[in-house]
Amino acid sequence: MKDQTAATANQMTRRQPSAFSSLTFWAIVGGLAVLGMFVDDPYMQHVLILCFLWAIVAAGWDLVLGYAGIYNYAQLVFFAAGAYGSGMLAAKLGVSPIVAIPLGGIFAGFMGLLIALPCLRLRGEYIALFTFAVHLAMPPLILKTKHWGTGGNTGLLGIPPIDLFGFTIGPRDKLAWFYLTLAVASVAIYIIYFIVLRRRMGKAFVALRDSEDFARSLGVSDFRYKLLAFMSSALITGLAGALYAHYTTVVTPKILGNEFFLLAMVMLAIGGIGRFPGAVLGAFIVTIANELLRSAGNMRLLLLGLAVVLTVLLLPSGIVSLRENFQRLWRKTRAKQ
Amino acid sequence: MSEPAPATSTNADVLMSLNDVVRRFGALRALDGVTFDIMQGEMLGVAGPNGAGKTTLLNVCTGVLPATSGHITFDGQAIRGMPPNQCCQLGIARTFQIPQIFSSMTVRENVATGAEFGIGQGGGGNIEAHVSDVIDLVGLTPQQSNSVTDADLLTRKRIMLAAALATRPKLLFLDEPLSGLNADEVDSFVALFQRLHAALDLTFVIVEHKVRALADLSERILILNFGSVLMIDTPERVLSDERVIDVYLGTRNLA
Repeated sequence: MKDQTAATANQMTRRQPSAFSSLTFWAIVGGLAVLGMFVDDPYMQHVLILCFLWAIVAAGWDLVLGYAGIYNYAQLVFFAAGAYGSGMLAAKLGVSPIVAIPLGGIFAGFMGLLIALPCLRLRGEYIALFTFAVHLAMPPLILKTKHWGTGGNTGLLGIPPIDLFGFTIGPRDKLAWFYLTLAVASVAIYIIYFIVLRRRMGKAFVALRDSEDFARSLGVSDFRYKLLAFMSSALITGLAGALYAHYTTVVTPKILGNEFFLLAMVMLAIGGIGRFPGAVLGAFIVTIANELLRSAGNMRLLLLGLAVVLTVLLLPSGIVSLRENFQRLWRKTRAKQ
Repeated sequence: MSEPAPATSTNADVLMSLNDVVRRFGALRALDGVTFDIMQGEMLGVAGPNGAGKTTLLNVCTGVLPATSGHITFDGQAIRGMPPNQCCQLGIARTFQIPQIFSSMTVRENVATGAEFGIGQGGGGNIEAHVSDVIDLVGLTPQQSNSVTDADLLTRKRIMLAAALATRPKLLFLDEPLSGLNADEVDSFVALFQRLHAALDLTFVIVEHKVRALADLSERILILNFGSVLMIDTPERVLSDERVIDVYLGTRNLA
């Protein structure tokens, strides 16, 4: 009897981490790749490209906020650092976008290091206050550094398209962008959820999140792993920002505005943090809902807000918990039979 | 890394040595010139009235709080100012008064965290076997795959202890391991500590209010009062000492 309960418990916990196997993941990526061949409406392609880019941002944020438990609200600063870094390198210094995009990511990773260092001396909600202050300080900083070539309020214009082996991927080559962003997003998400979080680093993140004192007493270096969480999250988010810059060819301080920030927050709230595929699912749902609600005008943000209120009340752990709720119900009904 | 060992810890039998250790919180001297040695392989009990500085002492010895002044050496190495994770990697482990646990992990994953990040971290493929051994030793084998969210106090204490043991420590500090347990549970825990002490090459320092149980367990007891060492001796001598009785029950003359 005891063995039996132990065995079922074993199955339950075993199922949890492998709930989403890498095979399922790549099958979905493959499905999206096939879908790309059938979608020929440029607007639809555009929305999907935005979904992929936002999925990277949401996954990067989920890594630091959901798994490492660090209340970092400067995530869009990393997005902007990648966008401006890569955009300025390419537009002002003539660096090839192929080189500028990874450099933009590295620049964002460096910003992650700069923001992480003061955060190591802070706890919990103070990290939220500090990082949000950094976020708020960015737009004025971009305006003040106009003479460095940030473009100020009008934005950084004329960011060149990607040039790959003599093949130019302009903003109108939606299909090429579709596959490029799909490839980058799937690799980034795979690295975050299937490699980093399942190895030693991910275990350290979760241990520090669950109980920092206990984790440190067991030899987990909070210094090392908090820096790693910030930097890896910033690097990946910066890559998304850099891709975004070359896709839209224009970067303005608007990417640090309230709307983008709220959208990203809503993605995590609706999708659910700290459980794959919550954040990624949230990015898709919110990006698509946001486009569908374009016609609603001013009502759009209100409706998105309502969606957050409803998910927080009905599904506090986000849409991912639906599946677990169904599984529980399913097991219960089966047990009754 | 290794500094020359100061004169006080040249004795091969001394595992940890505190020399005139002070820890201030503002004007309060929570530890006020504490000097004593922890001997290799012993079970040392630490007792004293509330606010005597027991938890502060433990926090200073495990790197949670830096000492304001004084010297602490472990295995001949100065450790003052080292963070807890580095102390752990030298072989100093601890448990907490309020059970700490990784709530999103299973029992086994909690213990495995200690094995993975403690001494000899990550190296060697025998981590799984080591984790199984520790889980077995502490008596958690039947529950090892369970989630920890519905574990009771006793189980939580066992998990915390197992995780600390999994780091392969040389010195283990236990902060009030018996608090909140009933008489039967206290007996089973005392037996568990005795079993661990016999089975492992491990030195114990046990901070505990339950003086009777502490006397059963310890070879020596240290009484802390107002941040200083009142006395350190065998349980019999400590418990019959007038100063200790005064500290615990108030001065007899006043009664």
